[in-house]
Amino acid sequence: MKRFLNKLFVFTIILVFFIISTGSFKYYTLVIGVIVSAITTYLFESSIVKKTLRLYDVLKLLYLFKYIVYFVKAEIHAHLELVEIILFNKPIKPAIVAVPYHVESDYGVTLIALTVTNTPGTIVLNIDTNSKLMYIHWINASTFNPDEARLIITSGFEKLVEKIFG
Amino acid sequence: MIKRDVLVAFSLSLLVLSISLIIWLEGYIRIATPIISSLGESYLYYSYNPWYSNYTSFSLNVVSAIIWDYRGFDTFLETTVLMASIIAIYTLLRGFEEKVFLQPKGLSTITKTATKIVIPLIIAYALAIATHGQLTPGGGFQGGATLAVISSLIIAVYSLEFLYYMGYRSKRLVVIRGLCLIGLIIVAITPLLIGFILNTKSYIFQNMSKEDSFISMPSFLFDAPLAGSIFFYNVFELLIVFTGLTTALMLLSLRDVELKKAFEVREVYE
Repeated sequence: MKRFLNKLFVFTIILVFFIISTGSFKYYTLVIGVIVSAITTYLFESSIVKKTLRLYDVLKLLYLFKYIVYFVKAEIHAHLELVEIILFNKPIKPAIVAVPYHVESDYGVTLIALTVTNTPGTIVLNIDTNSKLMYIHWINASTFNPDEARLIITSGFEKLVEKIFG
Repeated sequence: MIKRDVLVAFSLSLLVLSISLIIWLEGYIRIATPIISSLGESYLYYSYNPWYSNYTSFSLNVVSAIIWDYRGFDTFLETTVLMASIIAIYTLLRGFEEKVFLQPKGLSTITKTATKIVIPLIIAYALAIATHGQLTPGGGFQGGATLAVISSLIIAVYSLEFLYYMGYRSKRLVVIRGLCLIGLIIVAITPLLIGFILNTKSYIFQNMSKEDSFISMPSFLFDAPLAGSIFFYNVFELLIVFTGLTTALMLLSLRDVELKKAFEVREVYE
């Protein structure tokens, strides 16, 4: 079968989600779940995973764990900064900066943008796919230079995302 | 200004605290009255009760048992009312035409990618709600409403054009809905036909066997109670509600160009 691993990957995720959402592990649930996930896999597999997966790609999951650890660290750091601003009236300098990105895949861009939005203090307002720029609202803009801003905000995430999604 | 903020924060936290207190207390003391009416008691007693096979419907979810078994005909009419309301939207917008290739843009890559992942999961969840309607809270209508979320997401994120690209047309959806409604009727009269062939007594909307009629829908599938016709009704209802709500969403988000003729028709009548 063509792209067997892709299909298996999508199928497993949907089946696990189905079983968790029903909360039962009976034959009835399993049979219906297999039917439902087979149909949805057939319909959506090609649009969800564009490139052909290989067995070697499983190792990339390890980078995902590394990413989560890095993300939690960044989150705590950003929270502490914001707490300082709120409690001790630290002066702020809100601005919108253009930050370049070098990730190719859609998933990589999305992951970076959502992480940056999720960390307090920075929000991705818009994304320009032609010139590869993210417009980020930054509560304490220490620099307006795009490359320096990239070093501070996104480069750490980008390195790991490139390893996960290529 | 700051005083007001503090007041709002305090009252909100008080609200959350009181709600959580009520939830916590529920385990220790009675909040609602302990008296249940005799009718309600009989529903609770018989809705899943294999020892009284003439009264039970083999549905662990009492609401599903009431909706599709004890008052099945009523729910069938409710479903047709939904169909009638869609027809009302049609008559309001008569003269519209669906045009493809209007070059839509949609939202940014981030939103599109995130939606792309969520859509198959929503489909799986909606079908889980509908097919487990006789076991856990949920059912056909809830599943269909959940499934209709994907159409609204697609319209908002990818634009209406993408639904056309996927093959959705309001006329096709109407045909599917009609077929599912016929399917509901077929399930409802199946016991009657079997009774006619076997020359015994049977009823329309009959689910399990009754005192004077031994005809019964399948009560178990593998190891879980199927509740006979309730399962089939739920599946058909899922498709009916999904196509109905999707048609309504599609018609309400028609573009200006598509509605041109509809406006002309209205002007003539005015």
